[in-house]
Amino acid sequence: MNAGEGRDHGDGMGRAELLREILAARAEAVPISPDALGTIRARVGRDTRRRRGLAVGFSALATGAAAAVTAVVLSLGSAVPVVPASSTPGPTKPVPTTPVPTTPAPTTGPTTTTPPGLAALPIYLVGTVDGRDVLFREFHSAPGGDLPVRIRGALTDMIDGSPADPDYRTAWPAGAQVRGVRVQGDAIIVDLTVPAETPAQPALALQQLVHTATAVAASSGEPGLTSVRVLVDGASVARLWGVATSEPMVRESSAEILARVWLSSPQHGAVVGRTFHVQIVGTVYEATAVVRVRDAGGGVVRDETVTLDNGAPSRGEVRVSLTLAPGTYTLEAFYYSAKDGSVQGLDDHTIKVR
Amino acid sequence: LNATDPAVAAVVPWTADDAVTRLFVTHYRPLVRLAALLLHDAAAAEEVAQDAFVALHRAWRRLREPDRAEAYLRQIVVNRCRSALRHRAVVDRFLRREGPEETMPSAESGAIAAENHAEVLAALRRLPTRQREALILRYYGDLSEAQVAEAMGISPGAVKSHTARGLARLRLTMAQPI
Repeated sequence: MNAGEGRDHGDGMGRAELLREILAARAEAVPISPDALGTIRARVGRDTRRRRGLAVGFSALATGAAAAVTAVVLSLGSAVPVVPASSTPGPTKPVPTTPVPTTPAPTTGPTTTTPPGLAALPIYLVGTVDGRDVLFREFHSAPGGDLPVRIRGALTDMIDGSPADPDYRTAWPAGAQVRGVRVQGDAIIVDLTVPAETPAQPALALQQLVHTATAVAASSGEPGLTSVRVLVDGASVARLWGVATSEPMVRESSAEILARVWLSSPQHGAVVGRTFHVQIVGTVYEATAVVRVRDAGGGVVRDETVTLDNGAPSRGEVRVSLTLAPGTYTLEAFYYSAKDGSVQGLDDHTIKVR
Repeated sequence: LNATDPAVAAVVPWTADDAVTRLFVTHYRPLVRLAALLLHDAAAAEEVAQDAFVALHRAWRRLREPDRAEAYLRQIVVNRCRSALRHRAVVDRFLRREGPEETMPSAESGAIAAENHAEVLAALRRLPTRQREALILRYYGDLSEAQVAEAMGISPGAVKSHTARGLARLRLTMAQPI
């Protein structure tokens, strides 16, 4: 028996409550496929035929009660996008789309303020670190408005790929367009038009989309919107560029797909005052990262070890205040390899202090 | 005849098809979520929950009672999750997913709480199977000790001790501010 186990009954009760909350929150985030009943019926049919050698199963009930069942499921408030999942789209309901902004999402370049009518929205872009292609987040100005409008603006910006940092790029092919965005249950539904050409990194492109759409939702106070369903020209497709898209997609594990550490702010090209904040995001061992500042000549003027509020495997953040004389500087964020002490995961931004 | 009308269902015994359809509406989502917590793999969790309904269809002639069906579905889910975890591929994925919860948006607003939750969930994943099962069934499923015992196929006394040990083991992680 653990020595501390019986020590504090009150603490034990609190722990159980906390565990209950955490499990409930985690369970809420589990995506549920929209057509599971259809899948079960098909499997029951196969199972029954195999066992009895007869073609009986769900067919009789399926036609009569399917509509009623769908109605019941929807009335319970479940997130069941009623979208035909077919690789050969027949006549489909038109997807309600958000109004097209009259001007394209402006790419105003790096600024520290957000122009009127625009919102600063998180955009995920691709960068290469230590030979791996991973996602980084920038904040871009995109049209404000309700959530679908914001998501649409952010995705349009993401596809156009005008990163503030020239080291970043988009995995999306030119010519892709967002036709509309809507929210259904806990899923964000994104209707796209895509060019015939397959991009070099389709899976990464789709993760860029999933990360961006869910980040806009989370930053707009909707952290429960954790999955994204992709439609092409208004219809559900089994695969887009070889990636399965019939089910809602969720974020890949951060450790796999995100940069291990990055400079969240200031962004590349930003102009800041003499005293400013540097924000680092990362999933790093012992929550330890390094912020280094080089002057225009490449000389190191600051070198600070910072502690993020969470260590690997969790994603943490830290904000440190720096005061620098006017001039041009390069900020670097990285971590030292626990194995050999080498610099890993370097992200750098050039900024101007006025 | 409308199989989803409770008044009709009360007098006409359900066929196996009726049972699957009716029980799907109320139990599918909770079962997928239970399986996802046990497996930490959302895609595999759906398969497990679907397996349970296929098995229910097969066993309906014997079960007959919706109440018994619920316990039966849960038993199947717990059993299938156990076998799935024994299966090497899933075990590998399970261990690899020590990272932050992939379905949780991170570092945006409110994300820090989610990341801390992820630590507790990671600690939960490292518990021995029976302790993890007991805690998840008890605290996610809100089941009594007797119901947990039935789902796990063990005695209520064993449930009590697995639950206590599991909670004690989580103590260190959860002593941190969440």
